[in-house]
This record gives sequence, structure tokens and C-alpha cells, in this order.
Amino acid sequence: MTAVAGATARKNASRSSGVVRRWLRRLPAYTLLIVCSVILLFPLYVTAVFSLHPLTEFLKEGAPSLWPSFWQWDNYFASGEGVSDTPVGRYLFNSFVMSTVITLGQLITATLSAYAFAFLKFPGRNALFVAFLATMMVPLEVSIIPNFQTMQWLDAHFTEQAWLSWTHIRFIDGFPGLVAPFLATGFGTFLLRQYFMTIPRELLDAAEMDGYGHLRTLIHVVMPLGKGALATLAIFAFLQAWNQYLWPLLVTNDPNMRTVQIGIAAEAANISRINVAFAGTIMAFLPMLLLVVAFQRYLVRGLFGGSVKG
Amino acid sequence: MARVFFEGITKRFGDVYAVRDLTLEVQDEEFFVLLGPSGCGKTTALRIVAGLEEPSEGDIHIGDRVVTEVPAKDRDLAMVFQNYALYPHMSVYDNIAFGLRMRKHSKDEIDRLVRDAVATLGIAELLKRKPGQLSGGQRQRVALGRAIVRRPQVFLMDEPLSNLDSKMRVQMRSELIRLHRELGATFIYVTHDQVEAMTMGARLAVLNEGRLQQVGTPQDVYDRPENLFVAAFIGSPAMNLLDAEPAQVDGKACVRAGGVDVALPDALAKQLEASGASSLVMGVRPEHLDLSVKEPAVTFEGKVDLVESLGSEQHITVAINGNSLIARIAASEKIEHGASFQLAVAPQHVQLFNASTKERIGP
Ligand SMILES: Nc1ncnc2c1ncn2[C@@H]1O[C@H](COP(=O)(O)OP(=O)(O)OP(=O)(O)O)[C@@H](O)[C@H]1O
Ligand SMILES: [Mg+2]
Repeated sequence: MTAVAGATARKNASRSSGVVRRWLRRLPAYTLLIVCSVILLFPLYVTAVFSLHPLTEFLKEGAPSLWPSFWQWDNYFASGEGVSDTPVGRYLFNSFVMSTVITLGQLITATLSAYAFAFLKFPGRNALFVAFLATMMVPLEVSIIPNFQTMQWLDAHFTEQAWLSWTHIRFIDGFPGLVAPFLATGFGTFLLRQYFMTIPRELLDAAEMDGYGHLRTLIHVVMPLGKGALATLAIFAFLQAWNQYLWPLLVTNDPNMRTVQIGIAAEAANISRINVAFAGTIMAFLPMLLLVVAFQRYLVRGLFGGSVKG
Repeated sequence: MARVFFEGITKRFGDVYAVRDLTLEVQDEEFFVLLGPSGCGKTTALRIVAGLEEPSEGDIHIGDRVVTEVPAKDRDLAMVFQNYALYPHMSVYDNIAFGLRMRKHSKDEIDRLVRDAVATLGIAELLKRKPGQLSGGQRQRVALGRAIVRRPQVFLMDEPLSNLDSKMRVQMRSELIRLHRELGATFIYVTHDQVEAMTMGARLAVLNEGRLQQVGTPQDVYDRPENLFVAAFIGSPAMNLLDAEPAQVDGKACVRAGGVDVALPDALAKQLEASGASSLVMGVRPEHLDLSVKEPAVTFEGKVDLVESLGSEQHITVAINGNSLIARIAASEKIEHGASFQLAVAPQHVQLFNASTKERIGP
């Protein structure tokens, strides 16, 4: 009896000391993660605090306080002096339309090309795929000038030639110009192809025997199975489009066509309203935050490149 | 009419020959088994019939049509894949109805056909589940349902039972045989499991390295393997194979194997002489070796190396002059490891193969 009780007590003791040991073992990792998080989140915190300061806080001696002293929500909402008074709604709308179209475009082009690379046999397939991958190595800055010239050329044609001008399509100061270079990417093709390759070949064979052609197989078999990968691509594409700066700056001059990033930057240039600019930054950021929180698992899965399945 | 005829089918993948010059006729409504070890080209042969793979050479005939150029969907056949190939995102109902949706059936008709199929297979209560919520046996049935719902003339089955546990396998074996009888369709059934091949097929074909080795009824192939590969592949435990050479004793033809002269039946002796073979392999099935055989018999002597008791019988490995023989002996015999032991075989059970051509000698 006592021997049994003693054994149980020992077991409990060793179990709790095991918990402590486990925590101790993880301590360095957690410390590192916390430090990194603080470093990453600090600028965001500063922006959030500054967006609530009154303008006077920036005009006095020394650095502005790192703690919101006054909570001036008017920076966001007051008519005549808040963000809501700038065309921020218009900016957000522009950003949203641009990002949505880019996302849809990438989903469509990447699904089709990834299907071809994953399942079809055609001469030059591997060479072509390598070429697709190579485009991932080309930084935006390299292609931006030729792309811009292409847009100018297109715009000139569409405005000057009668048989095109009736369409009212604009490549400068218009959505077509904002989205065109980003509708198809090597990254999207690569991401989806890697996932499609994990789909058992027999599923496609079975569909083929049942009389499903490529497009139907894509819609009824491959896309439903690749939902997770499609979601990952969608969120990456949307985030990237939303955060673009250089390209929208280049192809838009009309304030009405500004995206939120540019609009806010223009606002910030107006130094007398720096607190409002900070509020605008937060507003530009909030939709992203919501998106990331909502689709976190697809982001993580995308980063791990299919090695983690869920 | 749905006989399936392989006419000189060859399939190359780069330098690899998956199937080599395969000519084979499967009768209408036959249960035909393709048997062979892993990698021998069974799946490839089946995929060529299905139209999922194009032969490098040769033609496939189904019924009276040459279908080599006909797309898979128009060949009027259904395939059950080794891993079932169920669509994980669809319910059982949708999985089974999937193939019908492409074939201009009305909604009511699809519903009736699906319900007929699941009733035949006894899975009516699973219609709403997803494949992930099914056991292996249930998935197997859904895969079958997907095939039978279209009522094709030919069924192609690629090792459909290999993922099931042994009990389930026995049950599904008899169910497939029943299904075949009810459907009256041609079945081509691929397996590497000789028990399945022996019990299910009306006829079977043995393949090795893409080449056809032998075609016949299971009993035929078991009793008269045409070459050493088939002899060694069919049967468990495998046939005993001993190096042998022709000899003469008292003017009678015999073979010397394992240090023993085995007198041959007249017919076999004649054929041996006609073949002119100088080096031989002698084959004896384990069930033909016994403690004693009614005369005339040949006796091998050796030491017991291994005793494997299976409950109903025991497999005894006996070392004989550097060879070893396996015998199936009644479980009632007390046999001890290391003991001296005698095994007898009646001459009519001896099989001979030409060691250089590896072909069978004899009737
Ligand atoms: N798509 C392919 N590309 C290249 N080689 C292939 C391909 N498919 C099959 N092979 C090769 O052809 C040979 C026969 O393959 P197959 O799948 O037909 O064998 P199997 O008899 O079905 O084997 P298992 O019992 O393991 O399923 C193998 O050597 C295999 O590696
Ligand atoms: Mg196979």
C-alpha cells in the first residue's frame, strides 16, 4: 500500500520536474522569438501611437512621446482635418480593385500553366519551366522601365487610334496599366505546380477514362484538391499587390487613380499633417492585417512549400 | 462481344522495356488474370488497354474494333486502380456518379444507376460519406461501384485487393467472383499474388520483365510450368529445383540430381533424349516429397535444417549434398531439427527443364 503510494508520489514529482525541464529547454528559443517580435513590431507600434498624437506633439522640442498622451481620434475621423477627409476612401478602393484583379489574374494564369507543367507532356516542357523559374530571379527594378515604356506605347495607341479609343482603356492612369505586368508570375506557376505534382496521377487517369477533358478535370478534380495552394497563392498575390509602391507611382499621375500607398505618401509629404499621415498608414495597413490573420495558415503553408500538409 | 486482344504490344519508356511483344487473347466474359512480380509490366499492360498509355508498337483490339487510336473514354471499359483513386473531396455518391455526369444521363437516371450499384455492393448507407471516412474495404467497394455503375463491357483491375488485410482480401475475392458472374463482363485482373491468380482466374498469364511466360488455366500452369521462371514463381513454398544431368542406369534413362539417380517415366525419357539437353534442372513440388511413397520411388537423404509448423501442415527444409529440399509434411509427424531424414518422390512427379534454355522438357 505505502509502497504504491510512494511510487505514485515519485511519479508525480518526476512529471512536474519534467514540465519544468521542458520549459527550461525551450527558454532560449522563446526568448529569441520574443526579441524578434519586439524588434519587428516596434515601428508598427510607433506608427500607431503617432497616429493618435495631436500635431503639436511633433512641433515641440525633442522626440514625440512613445505613449499616446491625448488619443486624438480626430486624426482618423474628423471632417476637415482627419484621414476621412482626404480621398482615402478612393485610394483604398483603387488599391482594392487593383489587388483583386491582380489576384484573380494570377489565379487563372497560374492554375492553367501549372496544370500544363504538372500533367501534360509537351516538347520543351522542362526548358520552359526553367524559363518561368528564371523570371522569379529578375527583380522588379529591372523590368520596370521596359514595362513602363510598354504601357506608354499601349496608352498612346489606345488614346490616339480611333479603332481603339472608343474602348476608353487607359494604360496610364487606368487600372489596366496598374495590373497588366502582374497578371502572370513565375512564382504562382511554381507554387501551384509543386502542389499539383502531389496529386496522385490515378485521379486524373480516372477522370480521363470517365470522359473529362483537361478543362473539366482542372475544374472538378485539380482545383478542389488544390484549394489550399490556390488560397496561398491568392493571399500572397493580394499582399504583394497591395503593398506595391514604385509601379503605381509610375503609371498614375491622376490623384483619382492613386493607390492607398501612394496616396498616404503624398499625404505624408504634406508635413503639416504628419499625424494624419500616420493615421493613413494605419488605415492602409489594417486591411492587410485582417487578411493575414484570417488566412494565416495558408501563408504559413505557402512558406513551407508544401512540406507541411494540413 | 468484348474479347480483348493484345497484338504484338511493346511499350518502351526511354530505354526501359515495360512490355515486350505481348500477344494475348482474353475471351469474351472471361475472368483473366495477369500475374507477375513487381515491375514486370502488369500495370503498363493494363493502362495500354485502358487507353491511358499508348503502345510503342502493336495494337489493342476490343471486340471487333482496333482501339489503339480510340480515346480512353470511348473504349467502353472501366478501371479499378490499385490505390482506388477516389476523389477525396467528393462524397461516395458523387464519386460513383462522377463518370455518369459526362455521359448525358438524366438526373433521375444517374440516381437510379448509383443506387443500383451501391445495392449490389452493399454500401448504400455510405453514400454521404467522404472517402477519408471509410475503411479500406469500404473504399474498395466504392472504387468498384464507380466502375460497375457505367456497365462497361470490360473491367480492368489493378491489384484491387493489395491494400486490404488478409481476411478482407479473402472476402473480397469471393465477392469479385460473384460480381463477375452477375455482370457477365470481361475482367482483366492484375495481381502479383498467386493465391488470387489461382483462385480467381479462369485463365492466367504469367509475365516477367515485360515478356509473356505462359498462358493457361491455373491448374495447367501449376502442373506444367513451361519454364524455370514460372516453375519457381508459382507455388508456395516454391518448387524445389536441383541441378541435374542425364545418366543411364541398367540401360534405362534417368537423371542424376542431389547424388541420386532418378529413373524417368518412358515418355519423359524419350523427350529428354529428343531435346539433347546436357545440363538439366529437376523440379519437384514440396507436396510431392513425403516420408515414404508407394513404389517405385526415389529417396533423398539429408539432415533437417528447418521446421516451420503451420498448424495444418509443416514445411521441412532438408539439406542434401549441398542442396536443400522443402517438403510439405502432415502436421502429425514428429520431426526434429538436425535429425537425419529421408524424402521420397514418385518419378511421375519429377519435372525437367533444360538448364541452358530454361524451357520445360516433357509432356
Ligand atoms: N511512366 C513511366 N516512365 C518510365 N518507366 C516506367 C513508367 N511506368 C512504368 N515504368 C517502368 O516499366 C516497368 C513496368 O512497370 P509497371 O508499373 O507496369 O510494373 P507492375 O508489374 O505493375 O509492377 P507492380 O507490381 O510493382 O505494380 C518498370 O520497370 C517501371 O519502372
Ligand atoms: Mg502495378
